[in-house]
Amino acid sequence: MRSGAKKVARPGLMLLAIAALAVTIPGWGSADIGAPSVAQSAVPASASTPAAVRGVQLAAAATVTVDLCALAGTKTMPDGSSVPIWGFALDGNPGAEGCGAAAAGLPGPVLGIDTLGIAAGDTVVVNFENQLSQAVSLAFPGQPLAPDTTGVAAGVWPLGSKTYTFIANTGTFLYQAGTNVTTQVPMGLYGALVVNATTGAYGTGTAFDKQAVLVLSEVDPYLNAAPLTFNLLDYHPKFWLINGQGFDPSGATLNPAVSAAAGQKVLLRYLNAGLEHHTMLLLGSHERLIAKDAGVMKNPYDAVAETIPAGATMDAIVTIPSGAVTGSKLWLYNRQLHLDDGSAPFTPDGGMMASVAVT
Amino acid sequence: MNGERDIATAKGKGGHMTGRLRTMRWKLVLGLGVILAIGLPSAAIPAMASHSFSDQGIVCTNGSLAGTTRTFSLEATAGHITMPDGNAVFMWGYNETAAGHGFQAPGPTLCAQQGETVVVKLRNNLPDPPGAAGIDNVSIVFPGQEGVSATGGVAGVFTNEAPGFTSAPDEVTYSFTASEPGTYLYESGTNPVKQLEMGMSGALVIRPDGGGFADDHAYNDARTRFNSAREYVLLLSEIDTALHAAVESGQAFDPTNRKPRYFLINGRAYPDVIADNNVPWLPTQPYGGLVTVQPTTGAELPALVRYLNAGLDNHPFHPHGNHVQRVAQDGRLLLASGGGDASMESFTRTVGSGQTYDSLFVWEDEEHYAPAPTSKKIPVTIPTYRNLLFPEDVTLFSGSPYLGYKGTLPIGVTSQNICGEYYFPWHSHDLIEIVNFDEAFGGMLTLLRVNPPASLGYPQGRQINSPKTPCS
Repeated sequence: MRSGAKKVARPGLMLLAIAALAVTIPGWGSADIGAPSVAQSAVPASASTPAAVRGVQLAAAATVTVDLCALAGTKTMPDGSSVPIWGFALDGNPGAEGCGAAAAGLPGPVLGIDTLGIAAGDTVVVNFENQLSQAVSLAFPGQPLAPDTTGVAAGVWPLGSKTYTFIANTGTFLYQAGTNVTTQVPMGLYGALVVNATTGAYGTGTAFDKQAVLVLSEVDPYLNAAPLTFNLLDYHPKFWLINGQGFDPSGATLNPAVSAAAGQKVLLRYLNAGLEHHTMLLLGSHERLIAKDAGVMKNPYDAVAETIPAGATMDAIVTIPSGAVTGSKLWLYNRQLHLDDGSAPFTPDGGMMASVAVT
Repeated sequence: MNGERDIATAKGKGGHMTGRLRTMRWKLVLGLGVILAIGLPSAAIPAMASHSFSDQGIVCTNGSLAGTTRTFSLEATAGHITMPDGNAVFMWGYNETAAGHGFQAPGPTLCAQQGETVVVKLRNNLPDPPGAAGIDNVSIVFPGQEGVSATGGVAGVFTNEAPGFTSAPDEVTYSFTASEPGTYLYESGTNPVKQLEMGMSGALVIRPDGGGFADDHAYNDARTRFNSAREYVLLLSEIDTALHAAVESGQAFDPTNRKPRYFLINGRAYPDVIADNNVPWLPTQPYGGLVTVQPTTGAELPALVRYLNAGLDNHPFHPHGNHVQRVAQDGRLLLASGGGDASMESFTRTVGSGQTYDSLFVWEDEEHYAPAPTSKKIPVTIPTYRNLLFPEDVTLFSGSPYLGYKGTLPIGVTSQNICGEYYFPWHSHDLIEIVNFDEAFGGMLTLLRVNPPASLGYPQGRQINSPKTPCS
């Protein structure tokens, strides 16, 4: 944070913040976050939240502060190549100018999980610092705050900053760049925001034991290589990602994305940050669709495959079948069958796919 | 009006048109009017001497039943299908070769009863492609089924796979309990982007057994009762001919720049879609997609239309001028909390890749367009013929706005209309998909045919492509 911003300085806890900011966030693919617990302790709400308290919710109607940066970086794609990205990251130097050791994420951190937990009704204060070479604003679709049509100017020192404040609505939301979106969003300026209900995902009847956040997106490396001149009419994605990663059949990437035992309920929070619609299919069980764009459905329904349109979110609860064999997997994959890692020659060995492991 | 005489007239003209129509592959354009005027394939092509298929609607493959175990023996084989523009496309598919059936696309519609143990045996008889690539393994996954076991073959990512005959002749056996009724896909679980493109998919229909609900119910719910004679399957898919040619010639398969050229319903492109089941000129595409109904009189049960999308693309689908009642998705009823009815009237619904939808459909003659011959008719203005297009001088339009009646058409125009029936397009509204290799009017399009009520005296029957009685 730029000094002088309206913000109480707090201890940095720098190392922990850096640990949580690696581009490939450990444990991200296996977001085995249990049902949100309500902590009554007055833990200071800080961007540099220690892992021990990440995702922990403060007392009702708390104020949760998030220090967020937009900056440039690189990202290793599933085929091993490196592409330039613009991404969000938790500020590695909160309370001072510059983002410290923060590294751009594609996607950005999960607000509410990689930070302190956020509960419905909490006041969320996002201190945003822009280190990119063009103006960036934040958009929180689905949250009650007016669109920011100016943003924070290009990141020349001293860096510009801005504070966004809203009272959180419950559910699964995207946050993304609100400026020059046709460039900034496909470059990687997006992430997930999870706001917990008092019980379950959205209240009574939406209880879950485990959850996974699944941010769907695509990357066209030609766009990333030349964001200022790329013609979006030529957009032709090569990499198909969940949480910024492609499935790795020989490794543990997204395999599993979450683990649960027979009979347990797994909440899948789908978010489509990409430019294309994505239909995701679950093999081996139905999933119960409970919310779209964080709007609770009056009549939830069971589906095998459902389309998450570009910009939309969808919440589904999978009850692991009672007869599911321990060690087996429920496969979860893009039914447009973008199941390759982008390398040539084409081989069906990756892409937008993950598994739910039965423990 | 004399219905029988009109039918005879239509048939005579149909016969006269046969050669020409076959040659031009039923090129079609429509004119707008009270209904649409559409070119129709000839009515006078003789039916096969004998076949075990019904003329329209679902064709069930029942496998063999021993006790409560129903076994289907499938083989992955290759063959060709033909497109209305004359192109032939190399395909892979699941086939009942053991039962003496040749190649077909899509795979056979497997029908089973809830509670049965379903066993599907799969052998791999794909041809060895040119080049050194070898034969692909094949497999089947059953989205929407739980606890599918697989034995035999070799381990794959999703399930066990059957290797090619040249390596180790092997058979994979899949087994599961048909626990819930509904409409499901079965499809390849091996390199699915390639094998689904190549056609390795089909429909699985599980009929209810619980609560005293018989086969004429889609689910164990009284609200899903339908007219068994009007049960239809519309299985959607796409074809990029370049990819099929690559597989046929042993070239590398690269879907990166996939661009479908044909858009199919039940393995056929329009206008082949509306031909009867098992017509002899489509020997590898046995399933038709014409949806035929009669106006409900109140007692008439609805038709059941089972949509499935086996393709990779999502398809927004609708019947012109009508709504359907969407009752289920992916084999599960749409229910409100407490078991109430959450079905909904639906016009355009995007059938997403891998999804299925079940819809009930009735055609209510609310405006009395099918009056008795002696009744007064509502005045109707139809467009002047100057504003109607009758390409190739052929039309499906009867010339009359009234259901069950015929009117005058311009001199030289042949009506393929048989009993004054109505036709409504029922199609993908992603309109680049109602083409055959970029040429409209074809592709992912079928017709809703509304036949006049029996009370108007037309002979009752449904087979179009034979000199039978096609008016119910």
